[in-house]
Amino acid sequence: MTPDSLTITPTNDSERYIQDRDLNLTAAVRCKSYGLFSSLLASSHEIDVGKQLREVAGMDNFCVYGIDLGALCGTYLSVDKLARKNEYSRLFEIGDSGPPVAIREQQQFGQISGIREDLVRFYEFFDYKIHQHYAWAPDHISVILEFTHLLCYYESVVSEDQLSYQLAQYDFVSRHLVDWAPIFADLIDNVQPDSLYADIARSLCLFITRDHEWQASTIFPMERSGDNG
Amino acid sequence: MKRTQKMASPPQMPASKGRRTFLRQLLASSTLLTLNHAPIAASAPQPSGEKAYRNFEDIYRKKWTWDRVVRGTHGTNCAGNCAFNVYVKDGIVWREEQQGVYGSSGDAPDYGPRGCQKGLRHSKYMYGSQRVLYPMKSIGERGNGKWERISWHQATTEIADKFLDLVVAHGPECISYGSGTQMALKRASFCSLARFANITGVTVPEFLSGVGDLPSGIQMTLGQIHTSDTMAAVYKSRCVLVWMSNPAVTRIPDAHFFWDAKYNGTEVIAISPEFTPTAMHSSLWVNPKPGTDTALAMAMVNVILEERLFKANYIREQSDLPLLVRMDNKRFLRAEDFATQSDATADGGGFYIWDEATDSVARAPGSGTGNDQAATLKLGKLRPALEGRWRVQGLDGVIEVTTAFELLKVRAAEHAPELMSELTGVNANVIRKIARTFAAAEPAMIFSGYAACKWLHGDILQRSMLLLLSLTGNIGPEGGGLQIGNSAKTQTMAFAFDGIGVAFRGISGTTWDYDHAKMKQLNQETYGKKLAQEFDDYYQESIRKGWYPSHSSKGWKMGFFAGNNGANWRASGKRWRKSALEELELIVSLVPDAGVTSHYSDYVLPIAHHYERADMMLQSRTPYVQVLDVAVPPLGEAVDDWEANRLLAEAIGRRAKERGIGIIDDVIDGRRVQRDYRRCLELYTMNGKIKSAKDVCQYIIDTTPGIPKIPFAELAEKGVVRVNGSERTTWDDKETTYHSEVFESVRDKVPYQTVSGRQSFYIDHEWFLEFDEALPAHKKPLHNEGYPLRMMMGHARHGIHSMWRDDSFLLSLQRGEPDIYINPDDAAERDVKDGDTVRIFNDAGEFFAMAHLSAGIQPSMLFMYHGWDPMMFRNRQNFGAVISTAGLIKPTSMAGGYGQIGYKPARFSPNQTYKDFTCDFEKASEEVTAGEPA
Ligand code: SF4
Repeated sequence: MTPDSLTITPTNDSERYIQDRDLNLTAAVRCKSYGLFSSLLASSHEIDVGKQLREVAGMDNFCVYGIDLGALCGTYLSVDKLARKNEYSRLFEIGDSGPPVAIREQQQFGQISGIREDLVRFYEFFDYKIHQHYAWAPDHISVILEFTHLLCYYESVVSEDQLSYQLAQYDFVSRHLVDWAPIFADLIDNVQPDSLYADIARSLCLFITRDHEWQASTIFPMERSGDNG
Repeated sequence: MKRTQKMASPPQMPASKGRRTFLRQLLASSTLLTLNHAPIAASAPQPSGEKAYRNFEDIYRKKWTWDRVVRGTHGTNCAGNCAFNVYVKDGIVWREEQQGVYGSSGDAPDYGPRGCQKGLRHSKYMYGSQRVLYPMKSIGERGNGKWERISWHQATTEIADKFLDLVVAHGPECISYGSGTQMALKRASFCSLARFANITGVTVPEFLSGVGDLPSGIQMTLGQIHTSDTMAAVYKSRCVLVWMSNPAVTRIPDAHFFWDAKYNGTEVIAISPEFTPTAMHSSLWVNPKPGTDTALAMAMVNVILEERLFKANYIREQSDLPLLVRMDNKRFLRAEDFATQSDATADGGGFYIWDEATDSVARAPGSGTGNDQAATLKLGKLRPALEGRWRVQGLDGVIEVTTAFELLKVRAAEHAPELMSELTGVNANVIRKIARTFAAAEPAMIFSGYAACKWLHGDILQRSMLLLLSLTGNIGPEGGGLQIGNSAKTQTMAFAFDGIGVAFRGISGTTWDYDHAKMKQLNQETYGKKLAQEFDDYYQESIRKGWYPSHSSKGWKMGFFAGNNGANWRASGKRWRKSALEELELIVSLVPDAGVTSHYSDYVLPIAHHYERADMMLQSRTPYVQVLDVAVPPLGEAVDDWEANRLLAEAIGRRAKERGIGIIDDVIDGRRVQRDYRRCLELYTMNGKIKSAKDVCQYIIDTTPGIPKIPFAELAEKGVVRVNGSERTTWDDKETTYHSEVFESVRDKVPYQTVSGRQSFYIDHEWFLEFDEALPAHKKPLHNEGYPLRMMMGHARHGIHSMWRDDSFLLSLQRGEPDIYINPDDAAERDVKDGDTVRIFNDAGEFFAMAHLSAGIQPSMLFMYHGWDPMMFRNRQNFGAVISTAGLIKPTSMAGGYGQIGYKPARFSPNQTYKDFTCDFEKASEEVTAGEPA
């Protein structure tokens, strides 16, 4: 693979282009990672993610950005189901004046209504349709991660215009995860530092920060005619 | 074209030796694409053209369309019932918009557009963190904030088991089902609750008096409480006294009627101790000192009598003022004064007037039963005297008599404007001016909220307001009357009893609390032993005499709370929580939003919010039936109230069968009732006939007078439907949805449902005579010894009770936290500055709030908008800490055996009072404010 093949050829309408991204090496791994974080943070009451996680826990050495996702899945699976449910409720569902930690983005940012609209417009643009049962919570962190996972998946399988998915990933993560992930991790650390979810959130924070940096380092602005740069 | 920039590390793979294997493993895994929240996408879209993504703006370029638009409103007791379009996309409510479909009554302005900032915020609030989304069970000590999420099945089964344990051991009366005005206005929800209660026999505390909202002064005077018209009636008035009400804040969709009327020449006179947003827009603001309103009203009565501004013919016909009263014992002259009891009864009983036409005693039209005059108020040839003294020959000799009107003159003389000026702080000339303006206006109205009911002697204030209206002939005409409330003739109880019979156990909420929350002790601590003992003696005597039922002998062991945040609004809230609520063996809350009551519950069951349920609203302020339709399914595992009660009924039935619990004997109002809990579900659903809240709505549509008989689906499609007989602004049409009895009395001369058959201003019940309350008079409000400031409260602009009070956006329009309004001089005396945290206290307790200095507040008073939940305060303690009034039940409110006076649920029973206390404040100590921003 030559370095040039790592460049996504920009179209005329694009103001940005991608360079130095080896899809073969990155897309599937990132896709899987986002998917795993989505599963790890899905409601333990609603969704059984055991099978998905066991598969990864069985893989050798699944490390991304130095984060041992295989081990994280193993830890998750080692916690008793009921205890996990209770922990999820305690942190994200029930509390004195609302849950101690917001697991929905809009709650974290003071119910700013634009947040959810932005999410849903992204979802609609890329035909991501949430099941009716979860439709009311498009800003749940697990749903947000799942959508990013889907964008990575598309990036890895489409034959043309990967650029759409790559730029969308970057913009979406910039708008919805990069600022929130550290707050999310800090809040859980404050409330229950020894919890399974504290481990997950710390890893997520690291992953999002690193992946965002990496994505940024592969995106370049187009030079327009008359641009001296 | 290629640029260089610093490359961040790529997602790190395993060492290159294993990289290929790893990627193979990963790509081969069946789950590279795992969508837990969405159906698996078939194949990746190939973006091109419009579908290509280049910048985030692209997602906003696509036309934003709605999946559907649903009709709805906010099923709370804001009295707005505003018609909204609710916009739904992708299973989410995005926004709401006023439907704007209203018309008008006569030449009055349109009822629309209707709405307020709370309603327009609801599509955001419903997704807020305060929502209860799943059934929850408290773990460990109550109130410690530890919960376990459980299934509906587990929750209802465990609740049903405890319920059945208690029923078997003590009978169902030890279990309460508390609800509130919010619940009552969602008609299908309230019908469901009533049916569940009728089947199970739980005790339902009546909440109108329970929250201090029962206008019992109207019942005492007119024999009913439903006297109000539509809001458009305000426009028909020439003089409106806005008294004990602040519509600019509390009736946002309707406030325009006041300003439309003012523009049209009506005098809008606001009467309130504090300068309110209503006062700001009125023609005149009159500010009596708190608790002196009756003094002001009676001073106006004095002017009207002194200056002979009254309508003599009206009161001769409609009121008891011409009735003869014995001088010796101050009792009305009755048929029994002329004949033996049995002869008097045989003769039709009744009361007497002095007929000026024949210069003799005559039976008063409308009084007694079965006599010639009993059926009508028509005077015919009679001309009842209003003034004079006479001697009449009675059974036992000569009786000296006068008229109630003469006694009223004496009473009014005690309230001369100069005397009352000192007491009220209102200049005597102002009193005269408003009395004259009021008397001259044709018609004149008093628009009042429920605040009067919250004073210990609020009934007397309402009686004096009605006196002002009656003397000036203003009960009856369009644009007149005392406007407090009316009630739809919804067949709630018909639904509750259908196919079962009457087995409902209702109780006065105030007496229920008195019995269970150690209220005598509270009175003793606050108002002294003498008052506590006196009030208690009369209370107990009333029950002994059978004037009031008591369902308290079995104790209070379990409580359901639906549409009711009782530990928030109760006077002496924390004390009630400690001495009553927390003593219960089981507490179950059914709520859409968390609050202090749910926080102290054992089980919290999630209830659907306004846009997630089917129901219908009726409120007499507008002549429309308003729908609530399901825009989106209830969030999480919430269900509507119909369904919640169905799930409870199912669990009770199932567990009763499994445990082999047979028929349980019960007694309701002395009648034997047999309860078969095994059949709970069949009875609740009418053997499966009623399947959902929509079916309940249909029942209500089909059985409520005045509602056009249409399918619920049609109502849901239209959003609002106008009720029949609403062409005028008054509810004076018998065939319409609201009560029209007053009009029937004034227009058709049908006697009132009072002891005399007339508007009843003179009450000669022995207890009223004993407490000098036969006629209205100013009575000093109670106070807490040593505390100089009277704290007043009112409904808030940015919340309906506790709902929306914690919304972040609405909070940003206020101070962001609970605040208390203080006169600047009072604040300066205590070295308090605006924004300081202050401690408000008396012997009953303390709470903290932010000082909000305002010159609109009189010296020696404090003002706070209500509804702030205790969970929003330091120490989980709101204003209820200093409201020491919860045990105050005045003896005359427990009186009975006197026509219109005596226990009648939602018509006559003692109000919970909130105003008769005083307190003080100081700057909070540094210990309290440590860590807070300066
Ligand atoms: S909250 Fe009440 S007044 Fe406000 S918009 Fe809704 S229905 Fe109307």
